[in-house]
Amino acid sequence: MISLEQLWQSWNSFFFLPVPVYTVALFRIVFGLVLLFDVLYNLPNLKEFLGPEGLINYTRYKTRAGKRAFSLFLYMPPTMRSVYLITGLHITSLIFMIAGLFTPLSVIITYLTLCSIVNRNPTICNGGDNVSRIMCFYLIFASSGHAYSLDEFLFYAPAMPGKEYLLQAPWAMRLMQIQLSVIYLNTMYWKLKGVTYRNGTALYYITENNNYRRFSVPEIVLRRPFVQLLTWGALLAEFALGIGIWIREFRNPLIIVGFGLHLTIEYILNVHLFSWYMMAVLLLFVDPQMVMNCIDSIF
Amino acid sequence: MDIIAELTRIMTNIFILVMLFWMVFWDSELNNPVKKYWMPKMKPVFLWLGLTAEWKMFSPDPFLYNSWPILKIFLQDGGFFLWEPTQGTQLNFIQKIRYKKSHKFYHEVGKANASFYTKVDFITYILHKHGLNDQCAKVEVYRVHQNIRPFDKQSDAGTPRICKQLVYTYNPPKQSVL
Repeated sequence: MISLEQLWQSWNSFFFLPVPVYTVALFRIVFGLVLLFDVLYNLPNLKEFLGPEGLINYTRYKTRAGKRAFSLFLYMPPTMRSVYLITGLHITSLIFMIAGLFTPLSVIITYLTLCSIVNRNPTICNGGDNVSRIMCFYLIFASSGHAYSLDEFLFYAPAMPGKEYLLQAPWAMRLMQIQLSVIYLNTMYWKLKGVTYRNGTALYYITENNNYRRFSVPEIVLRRPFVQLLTWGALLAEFALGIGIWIREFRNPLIIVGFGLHLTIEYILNVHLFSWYMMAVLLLFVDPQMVMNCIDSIF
Repeated sequence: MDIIAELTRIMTNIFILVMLFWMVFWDSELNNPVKKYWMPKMKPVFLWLGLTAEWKMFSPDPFLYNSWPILKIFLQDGGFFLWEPTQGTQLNFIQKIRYKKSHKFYHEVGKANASFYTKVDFITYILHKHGLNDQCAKVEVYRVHQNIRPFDKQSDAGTPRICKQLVYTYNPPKQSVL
């Protein structure tokens, strides 16, 4: 049995007991780089993806979207100039975010421009875009600019020589970690409702889809029992990542499993950056001390 | 100062609780009473913030078919223009990466339950892209559908039949005569 007081203490220590900010700072940089790649990828197709006469016509978009979902496009004239302005602002804020300069402001602007870009044409977006928006929202509340940033050198370090700014309440990072668990567990849950996942043949159908296949897999892999082992293995990995990653002893091996899972998905499926966003979020489970040691050994 | 700190602490705790509640119940079963009652009340705020993601990728089953749209654009002079996306199998590695978002869109248009708006937007885009706005008399959207060979029948000879189905007819708005 647990008392209310113990429960409250556990809650407080989980969400508010200060931890080193190295992990969330590393996440800010890696996540920012993936976001930057994402927007640079879109540059040659801006007219098609976001333009007023692109895949989603601006007038109809404005009528349909109304003000239900936030987008700066709703408040700007329907021209390519607006598209370039918002994209330019997004890239600039991302560069600031990665460098850690005026981090809280740059993360907020990144989130606003990211929402604007995604909401302008959700039909071309996928799970990766959803992960990016949600994580960017939580990142607003995290102290990600307190380490590995220009903010640290310019503002925090001179003001606090004792470096107490490196220890912060991790509640926003905890929300991101919980969100990652929810993604894995929900994904596994919804898949278990499908016949092909239960009988272990789902991977065969995924690799036969012309729209989503990137590389073909060896034919032997698509035969029993290998296809079943891989399909069920992926479900098992998702379950383990959702639950087991919270257990200290399993954490590092499961991060490696997660990277393996997402690199395999990246090899097989032509799904835009989903795996890279997920791998960036998995970094949030790396021990801060380990992050610090790794970064110190490199620089 | 203490009051501000205490208020901040209370607000942060409330924020965490709300986010956890949303995270857990938003992507739950439709018949879940909490989802049925609370989620519609909370949805407008979370939709505005862009936090209404569901995690149902490739579920409950992956696509058991390949599908894509074909547009048959009838011109006023009696001729027609046929638009069809390049098949994924005909794209090289670079093209697959370059056009993956466009192909995602084509895939959405080719779905049986694709929305009316998506189809109209796409028709307008294609007409504009090919400079056919003024010449268009009618557009027919076909959904082309080819089942993936069932797992247990991989070794069967021949390719699965390709079915073509008219899913939408677009008549451009009549232009006023000046």
